[in-house]
Amino acid sequence: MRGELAARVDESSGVRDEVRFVGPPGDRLITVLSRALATPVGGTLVCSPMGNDFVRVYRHELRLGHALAARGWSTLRFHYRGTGNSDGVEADVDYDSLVGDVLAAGGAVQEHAGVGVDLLVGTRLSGLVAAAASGPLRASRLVLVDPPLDGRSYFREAWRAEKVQTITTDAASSDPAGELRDAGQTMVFGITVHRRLHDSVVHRRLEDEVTGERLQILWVQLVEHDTTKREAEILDAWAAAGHDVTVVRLPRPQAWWTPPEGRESIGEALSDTIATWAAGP
Amino acid sequence: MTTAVTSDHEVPMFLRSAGNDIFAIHTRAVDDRRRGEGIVLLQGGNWVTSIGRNRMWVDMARELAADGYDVIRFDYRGVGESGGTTKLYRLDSPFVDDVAAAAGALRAAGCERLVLVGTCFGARAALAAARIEGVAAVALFSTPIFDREMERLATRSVGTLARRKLRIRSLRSLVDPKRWSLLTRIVKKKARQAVRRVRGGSGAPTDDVDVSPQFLKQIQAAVDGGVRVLLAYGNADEYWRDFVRTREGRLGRILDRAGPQVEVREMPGFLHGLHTAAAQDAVLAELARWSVSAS
Repeated sequence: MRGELAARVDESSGVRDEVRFVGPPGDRLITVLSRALATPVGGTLVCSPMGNDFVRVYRHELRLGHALAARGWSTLRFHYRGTGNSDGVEADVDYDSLVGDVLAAGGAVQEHAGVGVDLLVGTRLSGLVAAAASGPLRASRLVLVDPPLDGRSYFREAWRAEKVQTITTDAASSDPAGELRDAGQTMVFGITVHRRLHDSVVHRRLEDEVTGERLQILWVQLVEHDTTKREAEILDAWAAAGHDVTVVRLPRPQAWWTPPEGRESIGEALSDTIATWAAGP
Repeated sequence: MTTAVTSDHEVPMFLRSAGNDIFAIHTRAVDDRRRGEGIVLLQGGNWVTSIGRNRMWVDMARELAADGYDVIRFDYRGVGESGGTTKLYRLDSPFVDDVAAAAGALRAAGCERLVLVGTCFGARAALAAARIEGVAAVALFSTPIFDREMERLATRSVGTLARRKLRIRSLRSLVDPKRWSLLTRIVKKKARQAVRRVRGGSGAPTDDVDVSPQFLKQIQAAVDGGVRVLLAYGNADEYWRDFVRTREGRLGRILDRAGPQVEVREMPGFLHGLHTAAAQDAVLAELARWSVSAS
């Protein structure tokens, strides 16, 4: 079955999507390449978030792929190994495997679109992952959508959300952090969180993960707020490293970690913002 | 020893359905165990993809393929990689065209007998598609038997409704004008039931006047067509209570006449939404027990 390709042309944008598995047998990633409508100006790699966040933004990322392809960016989306339709086992997923998958997907952009990855887009935890892959992929631009400022806060959000759920639904109280420690895995809104992933992420900090040099960074925050002290520290660290950072606030508060209720609410503003920024100088 | 099935056995494809390109993945049966039977997996609505929580549908497709079945999972129109848009999931109109396209792909791959497996909205889609050529059995998990939320809530006692509405979250939701509108309609419906009771009619919540006519018609058609049916519910789910409450009416008579062709299973705990690993595992185990084989 290797090399099988499914393709369609999106009616509204005219963009051709190509779905294929890539990689070695038994260890393949599913990829979706949205081909640039004209001669590509570059390649984009979209790194999706994990768990329910993945479901929440799925359609937005498809739309983003079409918006970027319409502006000349051949854009590849993929599912990490151990997630989605790709091969692999969920319990084996850790930070290094995520970064490795981004690099493998970058190879697929080169192989199937004939361009390198200039632009990386990472949402939530994948913001850190995309940042970590920006150096090896020699990307020049990085888009971070609501990334956690560090691994610890990412999981703390999950435990808090799970506890709020038990309060509002009269369910038995839960201690996901303790369960993860004792049993090696826990459940957050129907999604299993494994200790391997947790332990490989929890000590990471957003500012440390950017490996690319002199990047243009677009940091999209979906909640309207004043810049916090931690955010200021990150911005200072990036400025000192020579990165050119733009912060955009698009108030679309998301109940991250929770399953989406109804149609996704992120709207077209986010994909338009990213595509417009990518088309800039 | 079974062969571990990976994407090496899978073919991504787009199927045409009602003017849309529907994204599907066909997991081919392991060659030396091939049964010539196909299974279509149908997830719930609510804009979720065919991957499922914890990749449940991916794992299920690959496990079934290792056991000799050809399996298709697909994203409904307007969801995941599929084309089109979906603004609303209507239980009385559950995308039968999409199911037919998937079934057609399995028949084209040489599957003469088909089993449709669905949860919630997907269960209604499976039932609605039960008379499609080649369908021999349908396994339905957490099947809603009302087409609209109002019809379901109207079967609740006034006390139950009051308790629900007095929860903090429910009270907060009443800020939404649409919720007010729904509540008003429920109150009116309860009043009409009360009037019917006073006048000597049944009017009781156990009558089947509000059970989806489509559901009744489709389950009757499935039975008449010789299609095996599994109706499985978690006994903590509201849909199970709906089912029990209405079983005394026409639905019960259909099931009684069907005999062993229709199996009803009460499973422990919550099943609807497959929010827990236990629920996800329970569905897999129940399918294995019931035997998805249509033969």
